[in-house]
Amino acid sequence: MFDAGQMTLVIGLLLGLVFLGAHIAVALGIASGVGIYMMMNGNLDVVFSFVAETAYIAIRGYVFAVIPLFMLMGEFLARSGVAGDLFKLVNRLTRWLPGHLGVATVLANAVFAFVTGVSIAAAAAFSRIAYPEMKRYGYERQLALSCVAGSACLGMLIPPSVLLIVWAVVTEQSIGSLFLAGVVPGLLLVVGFILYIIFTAIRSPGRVGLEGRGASAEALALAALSREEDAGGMGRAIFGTFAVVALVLGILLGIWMGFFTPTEGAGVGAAAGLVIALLRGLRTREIFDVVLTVGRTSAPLLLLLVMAQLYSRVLSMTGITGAIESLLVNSPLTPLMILGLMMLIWLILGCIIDSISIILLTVPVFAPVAMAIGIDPLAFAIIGIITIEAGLLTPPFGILVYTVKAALPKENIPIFEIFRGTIPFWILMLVLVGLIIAFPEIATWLPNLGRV
Amino acid sequence: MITKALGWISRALLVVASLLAMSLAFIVLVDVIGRAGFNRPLRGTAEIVASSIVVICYLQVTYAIVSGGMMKVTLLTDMMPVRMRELTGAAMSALGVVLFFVISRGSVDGFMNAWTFGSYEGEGALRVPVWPVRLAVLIGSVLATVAYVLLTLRHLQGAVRGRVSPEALLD
Repeated sequence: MFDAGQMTLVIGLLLGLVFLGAHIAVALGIASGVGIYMMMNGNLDVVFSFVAETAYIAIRGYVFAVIPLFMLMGEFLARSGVAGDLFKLVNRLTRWLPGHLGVATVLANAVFAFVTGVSIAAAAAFSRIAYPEMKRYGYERQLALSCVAGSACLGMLIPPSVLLIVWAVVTEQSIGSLFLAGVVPGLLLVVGFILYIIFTAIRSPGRVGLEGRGASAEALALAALSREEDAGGMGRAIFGTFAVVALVLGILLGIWMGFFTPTEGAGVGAAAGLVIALLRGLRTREIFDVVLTVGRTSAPLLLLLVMAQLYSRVLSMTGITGAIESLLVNSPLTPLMILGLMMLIWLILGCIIDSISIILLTVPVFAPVAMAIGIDPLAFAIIGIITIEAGLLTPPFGILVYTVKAALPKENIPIFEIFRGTIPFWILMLVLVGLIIAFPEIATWLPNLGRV
Repeated sequence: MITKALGWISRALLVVASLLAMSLAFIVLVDVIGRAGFNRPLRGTAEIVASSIVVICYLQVTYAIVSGGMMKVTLLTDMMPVRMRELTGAAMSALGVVLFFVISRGSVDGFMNAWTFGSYEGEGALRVPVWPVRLAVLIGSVLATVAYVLLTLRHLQGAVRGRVSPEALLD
């Protein structure tokens, strides 16, 4: 057992190293090593063998294959121009709605979220696809950009999401269940975003440009012309969208019905993604490029997972997890206050660190505490992920906002203009978190349904 | 010179690992089709996939380090004066040397045991030898140690010259 001083040392060391700019994986590994070293009273041999064994065992699992495989599927589909197709089709279908380009951005993002598990990818893609279109129709810049940044958040909530996978691995929960837990909250968020955009469009039509009243005849004619241009590629767009939706729904249903394990679903998805990419005319060189890109992005993630497991093992072995748990549970704080405290820490960290690192740093400590105060682990995961992701929209370091800005270098947009625009979006996300705290069934209903 | 060689090796390993990841998709696909269509799953899929993931992870690690792909927080360091920032960078990279030295040192025993006793993973269906996987961990962590040594030197150089060194060792 550790005393309080040693405990603070291990956690303080980790945070210190992270803030001094150590690679997060290295910070986790070193802090764990120091923890074991102190626990073993300075026996270096044990440190060597424990760290090395964990480095091998921790990643040796069938389920870890979901990470590169789902990434392959997403990358293949993204390279086939799926995002553009989706936007085109949804845009066509929602033309009757006020603010329909904004609505189309949200909906297309929601479907694209089923393809990719990375919010940043969605933000970059839709900055280039949806923003020029909204600009052409005279949308207010702030609204247009915040639509893109806000709806990119859907990527992490709607499966297959890298964040959900990482959370499942760190807390040793079933990836399939967590995927399903994200679906209903994800759809609720979609509805919330859409309602907000429609509301804005009705209340202040000027913000959605030509769709409002003040449009000049010339601009309208121009828009009509481009509308006809759009109609050209519609067949291709319908085929592309249909293939993607069928593929993703097939995989999710397969996982839900228990026909697939998540790994199998990911494997089939990656192979099918390759086929779709080939059908859409990707060349061998591009295919190879996709495979290499996934190699590049998955490598740091896999190593982080190794080190995070090492860290979480050390935390529980040394009794740190248990100590923090009993400290909080026996404190005068109510469960709701403890949850609020954890959310506050996430929101603050969300301003500084990327979401995956936040999960790796905090969840090994937070998850057992949440269990102890009676929060359902599935609901807790969704609460955590939405809260962390809200941090990606808030200043000073909301990375989605910076991604949108970086994807549109010519626009020269003041960063705070986008930050101001995204406020309603993260408020909606926090409202959803509140709803899940009050009614955990929002998250737990779907996964429990499959467990008959 | 060493940097160039390491860059070349790490790229080659990245290609191997990436292709291995893609081939896992086909192994899993064959397994699913075999099970669903012919009631004959591919034997040992779980063992092969599990072992491959370890290999993929460690073969890619060096590239992640030399290409500047490792995740980190630059909030505080960005505000430091150049020399201090480079010295901090050197110290943090040196910790990477320590960590991967520990992993590679510890992995020698694991590999030697697997090699001499010819151990296998998986029961019944298909037995996958352990030593190639252990070897991949060993190679990966030794190369990662070298990469962090180079990174440390790069930062020290930056501190001496008073110039910010780039994230990546490669161009």
